[in-house]
This record gives sequence, structure tokens and C-alpha cells, in this order.
Amino acid sequence: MEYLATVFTLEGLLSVIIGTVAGVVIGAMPGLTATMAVGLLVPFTYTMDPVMGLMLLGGIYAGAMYGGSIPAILLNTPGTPAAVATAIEGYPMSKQGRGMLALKISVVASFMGGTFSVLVLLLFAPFLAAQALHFGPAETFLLALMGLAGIVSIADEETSLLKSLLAGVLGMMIAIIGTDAMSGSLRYTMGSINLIDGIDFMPALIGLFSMIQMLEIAGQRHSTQIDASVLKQSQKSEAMPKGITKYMALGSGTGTVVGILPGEGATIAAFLSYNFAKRLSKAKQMFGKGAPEGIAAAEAGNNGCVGGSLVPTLTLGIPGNSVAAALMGAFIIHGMIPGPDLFAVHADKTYPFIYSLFIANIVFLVVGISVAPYLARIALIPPAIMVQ
Amino acid sequence: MTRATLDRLVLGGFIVLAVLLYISTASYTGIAQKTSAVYVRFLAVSFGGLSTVQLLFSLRKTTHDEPLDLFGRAARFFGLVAGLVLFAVSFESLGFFIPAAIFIPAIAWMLGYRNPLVIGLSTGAVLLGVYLIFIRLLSVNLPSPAFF
Repeated sequence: MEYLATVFTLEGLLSVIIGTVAGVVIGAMPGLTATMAVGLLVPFTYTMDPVMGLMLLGGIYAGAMYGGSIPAILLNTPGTPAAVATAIEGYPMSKQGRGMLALKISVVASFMGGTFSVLVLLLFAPFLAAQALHFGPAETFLLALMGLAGIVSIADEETSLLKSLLAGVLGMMIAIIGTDAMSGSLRYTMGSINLIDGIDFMPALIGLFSMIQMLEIAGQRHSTQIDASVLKQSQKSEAMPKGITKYMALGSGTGTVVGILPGEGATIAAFLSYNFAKRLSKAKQMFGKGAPEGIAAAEAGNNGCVGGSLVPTLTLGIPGNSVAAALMGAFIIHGMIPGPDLFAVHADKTYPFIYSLFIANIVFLVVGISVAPYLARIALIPPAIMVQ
Repeated sequence: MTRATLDRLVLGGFIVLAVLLYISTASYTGIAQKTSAVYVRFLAVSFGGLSTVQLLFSLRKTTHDEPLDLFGRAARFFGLVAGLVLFAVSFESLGFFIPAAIFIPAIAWMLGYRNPLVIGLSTGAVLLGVYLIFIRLLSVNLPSPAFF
């Protein structure tokens, strides 16, 4: 109870609220990732009370993971790499004037995935961390293979299996640019120092999604704007689709498990959840054309990673993903070395941090639900201004 | 141009790219590089093979597609492409803010938007937002002019 009391102080609640809202804004900006935000803000928390600093960073992590879905749904530009799967279904829904429903599903699914994973973190962290230790290179290789096999399930009648495989191999070809991991020599950098580390995921993502969007708008003879009346109508009342909870639960479980595995990020979690949802859905033909089930699974999946990734981070000192690695840095600079001590010696700081993640989920749920009607109107902005 | 024609052109380009990628591995030297060359060749063969099969399927199909409205406004489309290239190239010498201050309103104008107040305000808002978030808050080093 005393740990909960630490969270429910004015200072504690303010830290979580400010962190979460900032996280949503950062996540909603294409190019700014949760890793970047947490990494850059870690030094600023050095002078803060450790618990408040950690709660602020935890809020940013949870908020940014949800925030990435907003531009993915409204602009077809994922705010974070983990929101790519959301864009596949969310943007077509926006174009149909159902952007508000897509935003609603996204925030509820994110809340469900995030809350479930934090509950798992709270209850089973030490046990699950021990299991994750058995996850060696062979298992990691198999998981990567499973992720690549997921390309197959993205294929539908319109985008044939061959085209999906071609896209997958093209992605692998883009990844060979940069320093060769085996020999250390440079490959296809054309003398540019900017390509030594290869093509970063985020610029490639913005190029593939936003640039195509810009060129499409610029090239069209007749602009395809959304009918304002349709949008207004859809804003009035559209209940959550029946049976959507099943897909949220599926994504929550998948995201949490993937998050627990060291090195596996929210992007893999979102895509795996999306693929599982597609396989499970009776309306497979709707996938790629605006299937709410796809958004529910993907968003629950990437937010499920939040709590999951903190399991090996806090108990073993092995970061679940890059954001968790940045968060681990915050623990270390405050003199808290990840491991069993975190739950015994530093329990007065660790447990309030975990409890604060529940509050962060509630904060972005409230923010998401209350601003969704206004955000959905972004679809009505003239294309010329949108392209800017 | 129809969708099928465009698909075939892209697939043809993919095959050329795969061949060039395969040939490029001949310049890989040393034992370690030879090993990674095998992986790159595998990718090249997979990419070229898949593209060829897809091209053959496409050529066998005889459906009559509607012409694509991809270049309905060719001047706008290619103007935007040229603008993007110029914008990227000018980074080195002019930094980020000067080309952005020219590019943003120019593109809005080119796309047919004529309200100077909205163009000015949105340009200012974008530049101010980039300055405050990236430079002031996150201390990200954006390219600065070579003469500065």
C-alpha cells in the first residue's frame, strides 16, 4: 500500500501525466521514437527524485507506444516503427470516414495490451525472466524466421504471395547496406559516412509511407478528399465492433511474450499479433482494406511489449528492447542495478514505478478517447497543406 | 499507362538490380567478405528469380486494365520529385532551415494552395516546431549552412 501511496501523491501523478502526454506527442511525431525520447531525457532525471524520474520515463514509454498509431491511422505515416501494421488497416478506415472508430479501437487495444503486460510484469517477473534466460541464439534465429514467415500471411488476392516475398527480399537487400557485420568492410555506402551504419529503420519507413503518400496526392488528377459529411456522421456514434476484445486479448498475450524475449521489439510483436488476427478472422478479405481486428491486435501487441520488455530488464539486466535499454540506463544512474535486488533492496522505488505504468495506461486512454474526435478531423486538411 | 505495364516495368528494373547486385559481389575480397558474398548472392538470386516468375505471370495475364491516374498532373508530380531532390541536395551547403523555408511554401503553391496567410503560418509553425523540439528540447544536430 505504501508503494501505491507514493504514486498517488501530487508530484507522482504529475510525473506520470506529464510523461505520458509527452510520450503520446513524441510517438505521434514521425521520426521521434520512444527510444530517442527516453534516451535523451535520462540525464535530465538525474537531478530528480529517482522514483519521480523513473515514473516520468515510464509514462513516456507507454505514451509513445500508443502515440505512434495516431499518424499511422490518420496520415498513413507510422509515428513509430511499431505502428506500421496499424497503418495497414487504420488508414483505409480513415479514408472511409471511420477514422474516429479506428482511433478508439487503437487506444482501447493499447490500454488493454499495456495493462495486461504490466500485470504480468508485476506478478510473474522473476519466474518469466528465468525462462527468458534459456532463449539462446538458436531460438532467436527461429523467432526471426517466424517473423519472416509472417510475410506470407500479409499476402492476399490483390498482393500475391510472390509480391509479398519480393517485398521481403527487397527489405533484406536494403539491410545489407552499411558495415558488414562479419568482415567490418563497407558495403554499398557510395563513400557516404551517413550510410556506414546502414539505412536506419525510421527514415526508410517515412520514405516508404509518407513520400509515396505525397507523390500520390501530387500526381492525382482528382484529389480524393474525405467527404466531411461522412466524417461528421461517423463521429456521432459507432460502437466498437462485436468480438473485437478477442483480438485485443490475442495481441496482449503475443506482445507480452515477445516483449519478454530479449532483443525482440514492439515491431515484431505488432506484426505477429496482426498475422495471428488475420489467420483467426472470419473476414480475412477485409484485411488491408480497413479491418478493425487488425488494428486491435497490432496495437495490443505493441503496447503489450511495454511490460513484457521490462521483465528481463528489471530482473536480469538484459533489456527486452532498445527503449528498455534506455530505461535501464536510468535505473543504473540512480544507483539501482537491475537484478533481484531491485525487488528487495530497492522495492520502494521499483514497485511504485511498476504501479505508475498502470496509471500511464489510464492517462493515455483518457487522452486518446477525449481527443479522438478532434484528431479525426486531420483527414479534412487540404492535401497541399498536408504534404508540407 | 496501365497498372500491368507499370508492374512489368518495375519488375524489369528489379531483375536488372538483382543482376547488378550479383555482379557486385565479385569485388568482395578476403575470406570473411567471401562468406558474406554468398548471402548477398543468395538475396540477388532470390530477388531476380521471384521478379522473373512474377513478370512471366504478369505477361501471361491478358486482362484489360484501366489507365492509371498516376501522372494525371505530371508537372505537379515531377515538380515534387525534383523539389524533394533539390531539398535533399541543398542540405550540405544551406543546412536544414533555409531550404525548408523555401521548399515548404513552394510545394504548397505548386500543389494549388493559394492562401498566403495559411501557407505562411503553416511554414512558420513547422519550422518553429522543428527548432523547439529537435534543437532546443532534444539537442539534435540538424545540418547547418556551410557558410555559417
